Amino acid sequence: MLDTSILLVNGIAVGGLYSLLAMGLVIVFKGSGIVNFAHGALFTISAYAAHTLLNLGFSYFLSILFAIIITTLIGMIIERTAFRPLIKTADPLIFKGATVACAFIIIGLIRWRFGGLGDYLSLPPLFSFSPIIVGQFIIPSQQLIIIICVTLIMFIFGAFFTYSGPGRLMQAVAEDSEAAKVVGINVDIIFLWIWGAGSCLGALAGVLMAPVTLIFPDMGLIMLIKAVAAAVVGGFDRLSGAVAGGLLLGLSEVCFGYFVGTQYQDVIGFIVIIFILTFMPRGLFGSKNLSRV
Amino acid sequence: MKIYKSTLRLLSLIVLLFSFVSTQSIANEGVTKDKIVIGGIGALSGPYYLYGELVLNGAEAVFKEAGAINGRTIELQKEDSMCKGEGSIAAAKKVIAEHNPLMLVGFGCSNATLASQSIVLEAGIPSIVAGATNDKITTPNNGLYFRVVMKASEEGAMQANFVSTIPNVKKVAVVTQKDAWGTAKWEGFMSAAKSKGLDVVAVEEMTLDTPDATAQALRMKNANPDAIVTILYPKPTIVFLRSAHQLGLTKLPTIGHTSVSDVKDLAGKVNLPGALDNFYTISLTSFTPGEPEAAKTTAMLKKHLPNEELTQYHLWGVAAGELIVDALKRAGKDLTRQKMVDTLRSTSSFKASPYPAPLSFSKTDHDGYEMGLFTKLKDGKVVKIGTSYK
Amino acid sequence: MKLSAPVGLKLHRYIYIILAIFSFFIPFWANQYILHVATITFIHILLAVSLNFVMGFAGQLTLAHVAVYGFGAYATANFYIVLKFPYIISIFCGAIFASLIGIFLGFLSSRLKQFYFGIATLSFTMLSHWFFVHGGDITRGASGWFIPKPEFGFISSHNGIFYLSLLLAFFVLWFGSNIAAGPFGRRLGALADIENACGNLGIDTKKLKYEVFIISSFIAGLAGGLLMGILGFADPESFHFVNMIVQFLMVILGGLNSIFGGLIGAITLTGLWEWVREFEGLWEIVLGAILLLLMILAPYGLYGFLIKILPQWREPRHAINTLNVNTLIPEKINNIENNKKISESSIIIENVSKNFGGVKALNEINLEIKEGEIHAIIGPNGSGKSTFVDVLSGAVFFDSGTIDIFGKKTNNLKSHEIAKLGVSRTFQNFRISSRLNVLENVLLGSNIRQQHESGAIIRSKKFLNEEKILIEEALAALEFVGMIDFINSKGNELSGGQMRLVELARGIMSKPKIMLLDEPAAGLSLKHVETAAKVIKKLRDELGVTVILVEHVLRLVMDLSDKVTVLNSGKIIASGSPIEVKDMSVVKEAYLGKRKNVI
Repeated sequence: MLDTSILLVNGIAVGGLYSLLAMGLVIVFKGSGIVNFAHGALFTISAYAAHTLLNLGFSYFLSILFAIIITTLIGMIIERTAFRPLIKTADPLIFKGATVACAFIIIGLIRWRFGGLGDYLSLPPLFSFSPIIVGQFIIPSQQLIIIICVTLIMFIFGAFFTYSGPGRLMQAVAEDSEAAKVVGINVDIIFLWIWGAGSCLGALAGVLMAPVTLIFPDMGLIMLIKAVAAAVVGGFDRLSGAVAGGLLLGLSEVCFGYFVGTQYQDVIGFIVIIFILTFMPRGLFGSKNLSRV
Repeated sequence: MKIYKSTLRLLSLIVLLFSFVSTQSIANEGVTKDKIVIGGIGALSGPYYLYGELVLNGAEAVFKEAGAINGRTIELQKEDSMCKGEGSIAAAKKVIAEHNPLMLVGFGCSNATLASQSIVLEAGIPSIVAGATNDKITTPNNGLYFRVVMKASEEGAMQANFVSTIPNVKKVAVVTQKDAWGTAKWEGFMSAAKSKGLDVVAVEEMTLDTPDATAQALRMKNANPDAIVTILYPKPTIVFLRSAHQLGLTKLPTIGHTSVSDVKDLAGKVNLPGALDNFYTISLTSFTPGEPEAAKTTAMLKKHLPNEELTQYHLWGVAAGELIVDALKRAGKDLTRQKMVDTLRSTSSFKASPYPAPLSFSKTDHDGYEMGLFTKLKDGKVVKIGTSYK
Repeated sequence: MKLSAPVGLKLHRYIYIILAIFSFFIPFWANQYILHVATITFIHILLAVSLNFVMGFAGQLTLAHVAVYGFGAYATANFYIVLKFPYIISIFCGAIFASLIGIFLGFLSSRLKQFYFGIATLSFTMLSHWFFVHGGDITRGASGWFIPKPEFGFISSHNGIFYLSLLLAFFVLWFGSNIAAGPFGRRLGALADIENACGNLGIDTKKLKYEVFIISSFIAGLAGGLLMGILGFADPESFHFVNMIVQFLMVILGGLNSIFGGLIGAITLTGLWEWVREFEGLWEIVLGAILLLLMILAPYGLYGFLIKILPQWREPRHAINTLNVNTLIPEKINNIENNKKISESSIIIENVSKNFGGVKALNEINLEIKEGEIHAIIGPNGSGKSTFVDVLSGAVFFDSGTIDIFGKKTNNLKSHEIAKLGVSRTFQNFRISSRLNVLENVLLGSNIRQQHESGAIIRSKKFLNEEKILIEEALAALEFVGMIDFINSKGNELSGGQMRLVELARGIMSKPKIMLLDEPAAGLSLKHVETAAKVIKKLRDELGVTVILVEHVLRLVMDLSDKVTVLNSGKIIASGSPIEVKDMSVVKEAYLGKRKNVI
């Protein structure tokens, strides 16, 4: 019983991180119809930015705040440089290529600036209260923090998109940018906001994950692949689907790893995906009109 | 027809031009009046750059520090192997074809090193391996590869030997990375453990990117081992130790690997009090970068490469660099590759500054490094344990 | 009027030959490194061309190409080392094994659409990499597997592999562009852009997907086998997802949907990749910046950039190198016989019903359509007209009853099988491929009539003659609909009305006996409606085609049709000549009563 509960707690924590990344991808996808392959790099940036600021003597809270702001801005810069000039090009593959190029540049820059500092850099945890002890087991604070933060962020972003003015504008543009243009919404700016919001989620995932797994320049790729996978399993065009997909992936990795064998841990998610897609060709919650990618 | 004729004419012209260019061959065996060219091959990018870029930077700092040797300065030509067979072959071919170096240094990844070995051997270039540990690189002896780090089977044997000296320990659980790096070490450990009569009750696997090791730790706990051996990169080691600590597994003696030889650094990154109380690890070097003994090396690195922080990986490069500088000095003015091979072979008891024991090579044995140390963190200080449990 | 068509194929062939001759001399002057890079370039050409077949031509977003490449490599290694086959034979055996993986990908792509397919293939790549690492004796795992140097008789091993790669790359470029410049290339264009119209063009999309994946995987498998030869070492990291990104970039950079683009992309990216070595650890930044810049400057790839400046360099999807339109247009369409026999029935519909989730879209329909008449189907919105066309063309299956087309029961026949009975259709929303130009779009119509397609790969005389005849007919069909001036326009450069006319011409090209026109006037300007009406009349009068016309614009219906059938709520409420129907009270009530102003 304790085995199961500890698997659940850790699975949910890992899944929560996948969910956050997947949500960022889904927001950008819904808004601009492209999969941002630089999302993994953004996630890396936020971790490095937080590390640098902390070492410069900023307080923990400020470091994280600024890291998130910096990453959001970089996300917006990518929108301006790699998305905006190409918007007239119909082929979505080109967008993918452009975001891949951005990822190359970002990872290269990080390695150039931080590579000499040695292997893996660490970020201290957000709050260090003593671990919670259940029976003879210890639940470390960071896992609990991740779960709590991820839940909060999901609700905040959900509320933001449903109730706030800017959130609704973004929703409107995401649903139908042409119609939004007709009603007089400045679609150009909204696209920028959408990329900002997506990058912000990526940044949050980065600073939450950094204390758990350390940071290094190439940390984004596998996380990106898993986040894309989670988003697709959830249907790719709704936030709740991304959350469900992320949790499913995280839980299945930890549980299958335990019950079947740890050598299968890293592929189990992909087996699940092929299986789900073969029998449910639109993912778990995907809507029917999804062709533009 | 006209097109074909004119094209052919143009082509033959190009061919002539290139054949002229290629006859302008480069310096003889990498040595000119005032320069010695040494090729550096290693991963300069990708997740394995620690074993390439950082090692080579360590060597480069030593070369710069050494200045002119018999009137010649050393020029290091780095090429990125990307830690892949493909990249390593291209890098080796490029550095040999374009720079014709006297020697090669670096070689961080076993797979990449093995893949390019036939090319290096064909070109007859002596090479110093300062990272890759796979036994096959130097055994059987191919005459040109010299290694200044421990080989995988020895590392595995050291771990197995250490475990067998812990009283009342029979059952061992292993957690490893199944990439080329981990496999070589894991195989070394398994064969040594067998000969020591240890019972391996669980073999768990992690990758570089596994974000959570709960499954591994739980499975180990259920296997009920007496000791744990980790053959992992620093990042997964930390992830594993955190999960293991969560389940109370860190009360068991845990034996780490050379990749985490800097225990103090590790403790800071794991950041859980008590997680490293029973953690022993192998250190190739006699000091870790944070310790006072490292001050001189740190200063040297900072002098030549101001953006770098000293790490254990730099130290291996420093050792390789010092060996090369020493050999160049001993080889005298007339440098040839054969002379370098002979000089390196005659190295006996060379004391490289980061290493606890001297390096020695002979005609039959090209593995210079024979002894590592176990270290442990006690009350915030690194304590040297030796090769058996105390 | 002077018209010219692209001669790209010929120009590209010159380049292939020149490159091959130039490459032939490389071993005479190059050092080992340049020779190595050149060999890798050929391998990349194989990869880029084969990936372009799937991703560019057929529009299938596959991320499993690197896995196929890997399976080809490991299979080659097994045949060569374990089974001790000669190296060259092993490569081909490996490629055949890779095609088996292609069959699996074909299966996935016939089940999954676009992005979901992308992710399924990405997962497959991750799984394959895991298998290469954990494959035991089949792959020798992460520690790698030494491949003995293959022997090539009198030349050295690396020169041998160089020449073998050169030969295979040349063959793939040469024969690849041959099959692309023919019906296969056209079908792929249709698959990519208008998959939902493929059935009605007589294209079996499932089969086509399997075909393209098998061809592409075979080539990728060859590349894998060659890689084993040049590296002498099998390493799972060569087949990691990262390498998929590299292949993807090659195709994007060179230009999608083009063999020549694959060549440019492979050469450019391999060259850049080696060149950025100069920057040591900083190469990622430089490479990323260059790629980003190139993509912004040439968003359609270097090939796209090239044909923008030099349109004649466009790779055609038909086999004729030089077209002189003026000499090719015959005065009249003479190949289509007049088969007008108004007395016989072409379609007999008995008791046909179709339910959509409880709604009876068609309810016990009984109808006989005579050969050579224009039979209009009208009715208010939601009366079942569109379902009627869909059922007839096989786009949806009906629940009960029978439909006879020329005496053949069509129950549960798929749309491409019905197309082969001589049924052609147009669509309410335009379905024209933007990858193909107008001429090639029209040629798609002749897909079911092509007899000598197998000759495309070697451009046999029979095949070329047939293509020439088909092109003549296509030009005639375009003349017939008045679109001859637009043959070089791309599908997406046309207005709605022009697209409709092209669709009509495409329909004519299939030499249909029956033509289903689904609201041909929808979205057309008045001028184009008139042209369309003229064309429809000509179809009946000059070509003797039975026309089933589903239409909203009643004036058009009343002018054109021989017979009108009125549907309401899935039932036939009236049928007869236009004048009879117009006066029936039941029709007025159901339809005209509400919209008096229509007539």
